[in-house]
Amino acid sequence: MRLAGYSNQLQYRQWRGPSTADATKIPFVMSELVPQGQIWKIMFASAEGQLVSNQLLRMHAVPPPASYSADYTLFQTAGGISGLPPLVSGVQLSKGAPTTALGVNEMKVDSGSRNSVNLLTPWTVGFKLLPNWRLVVSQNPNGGGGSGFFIVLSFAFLPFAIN
Amino acid sequence: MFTPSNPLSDSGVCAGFYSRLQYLRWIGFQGFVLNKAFAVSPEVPVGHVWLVMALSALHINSNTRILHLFAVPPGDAGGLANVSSDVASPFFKGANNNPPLASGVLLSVGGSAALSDQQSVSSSSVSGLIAPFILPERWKILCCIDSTEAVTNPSADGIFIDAALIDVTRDECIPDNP
Repeated sequence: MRLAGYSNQLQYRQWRGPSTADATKIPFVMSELVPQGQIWKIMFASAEGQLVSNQLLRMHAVPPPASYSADYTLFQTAGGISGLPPLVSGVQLSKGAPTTALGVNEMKVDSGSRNSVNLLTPWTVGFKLLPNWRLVVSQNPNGGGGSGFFIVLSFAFLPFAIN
Repeated sequence: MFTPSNPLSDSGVCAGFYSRLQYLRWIGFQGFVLNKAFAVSPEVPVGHVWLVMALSALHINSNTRILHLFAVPPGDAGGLANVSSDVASPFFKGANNNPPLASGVLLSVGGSAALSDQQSVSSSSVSGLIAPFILPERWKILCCIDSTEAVTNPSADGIFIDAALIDVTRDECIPDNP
């Protein structure tokens, strides 16, 4: 039990990932790090973007020290393509699927649309991010990249101070 | 004599709390022809919080359309309201009331046009949430149509949002997980 008024501390944030330069880069987006002394309780999270074709998006919670990487070093690079799984470390909070052909439709953003996917499940609503953790949204590994593609993460959380 | 336990009391919440559940319906403009239909709730009153236990939406047109429900934070929510004519709201950054939104985070299941869960036709409803949630003061709930869908010209369209929620004031105690 807690005071209802605390829910009015809900914070809304939106982050836009970097626009890709060319097909050697797969788009991603990261939240900022959770500040020292805080825990963030995740209440809502969704993503959309401008993507090369139909793409599956997924969200991971990434602990330190991997979370200190705010660029492609968090991912694998193979065959000259950056932004591939697996992450250096991280646990998935959203539903997932391997390819668009085998994909979970609810995680798929259709080509040319700016519709959102929900990045939480009934079991991950309320997940607590610890200090120096961050959220990372990435694209299915074989989805490809190109010039000018990006992902936008919208996120709402309740911050708690660690006493 | 055996007395059955009350699981609601066991969790620290009296059943009477849940008897405050109220049903609300918010109706958007029902004459959209050249623009995509949308509907929005009033804002959660200042000093209050809504525990949203159930949420659904429908659109009236006989053509199938995919519906999405969002929570809209204060700021942009202040300028977002139901319209009284077939117009494009500046809250939508796409043409004709298409996403992306000025701000907001998805409440419902999202995804591809191939997902049937969010498809509404002839006033059939879709679910608007993946789990009960708490909506703070000055936030709003928005329902809009997938950007892959066309306008319904020449027939009219409109959206209804239905909710079951408990309105509590900020000084009340609520369960951690409604």
